[in-house]
Amino acid sequence: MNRLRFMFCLIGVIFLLAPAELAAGAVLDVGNTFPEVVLNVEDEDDARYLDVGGIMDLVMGSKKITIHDVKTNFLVIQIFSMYCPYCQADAPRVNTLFGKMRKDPAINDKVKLIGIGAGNTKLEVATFKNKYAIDFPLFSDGDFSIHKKIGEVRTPYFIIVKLQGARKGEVLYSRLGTLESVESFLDVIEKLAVK
Amino acid sequence: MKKTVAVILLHFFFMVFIISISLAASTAYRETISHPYPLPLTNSTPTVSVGETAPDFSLPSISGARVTLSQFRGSKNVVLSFVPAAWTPICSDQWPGYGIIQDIFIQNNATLIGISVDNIPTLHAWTKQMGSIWFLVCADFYPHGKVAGEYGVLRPDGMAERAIFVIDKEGRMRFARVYDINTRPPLEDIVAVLQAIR
Repeated sequence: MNRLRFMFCLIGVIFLLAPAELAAGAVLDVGNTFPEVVLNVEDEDDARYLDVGGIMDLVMGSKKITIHDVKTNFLVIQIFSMYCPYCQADAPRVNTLFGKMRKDPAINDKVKLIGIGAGNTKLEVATFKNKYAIDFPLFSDGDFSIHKKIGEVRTPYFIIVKLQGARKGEVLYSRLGTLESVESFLDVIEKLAVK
Repeated sequence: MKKTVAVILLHFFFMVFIISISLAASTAYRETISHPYPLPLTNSTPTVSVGETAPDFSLPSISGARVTLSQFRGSKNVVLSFVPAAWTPICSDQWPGYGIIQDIFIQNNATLIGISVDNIPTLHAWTKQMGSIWFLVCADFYPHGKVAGEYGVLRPDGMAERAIFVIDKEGRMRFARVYDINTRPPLEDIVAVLQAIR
């Protein structure tokens, strides 16, 4: 009887704990589906780059989209934080990556790059963007809601998501850490884009 | 049996607590950060209120010079950033962010003083990991937490609260807030008050 009670309590505890773990989400591995997240586009240039409509489509100065609204085949997502020294050091390399992506015709039409500031308020994201003269769209995730859905990864973290064809939303690449080599990451992107 | 259930429930609450503090920690300190036991969100009562004269203090800094609050009287607004301890999760991702906002302080004729109850060698080693740190970093180590105590932000466990104080050029307190120890103060709080008193 005691053993039965113990098992009952244990199951109860596991049951109670499960929603918290699910809410936090597991770290995204290759083959997983990127979760539904809402991004708030507030900049006309960002809207144009993501091809989600011009300034006329921004309602009250912003527009809520999901990654599936972005007109591209593949989306590279950098999870960063203004407070992360590695992200700060990596910012010039990510800018170089973005510049090369824009200039490479094999990539430019098929792959886009965004950043999500984990736990960063709008001002913190804007500060990071201005400090490092970042030209690709950065989004605020001030309440960690996106961060929780992708498994509370450390920063910086890079994810590539497939947005066209079969298995839309599939994670094709998932890695913790700075870029280290822009060229090798560009190779990864190129191989995906020309497949 | 009751004891077993109590132990299980204790573990459960501990795990929920750990899960709930989503930090977006950077990879910078992966192997060196200590994760302290669950702590009360705030655990002291600030004794300095907005409008009052801020208590003066003089503390050693990692630059080797002593830093005295009153040295800025008449020349600069001062932001004090108390953090609980070196080599802990949120603190290690708070000051590196301040490392890239010096221009905000310059624009608002302000300076930043980071204060922790750790000693100078510890603060030296810790802040070296943060990249470019332009602001003053002071040790409120001995007498232990004296300044934190005078501002009412010394916790019973000997750490400081995570707190921000903004003091204007006349030495008056213009902003005083203790934050949940598990969260970073939003940059908006500092910028708003600096712009208001510029």
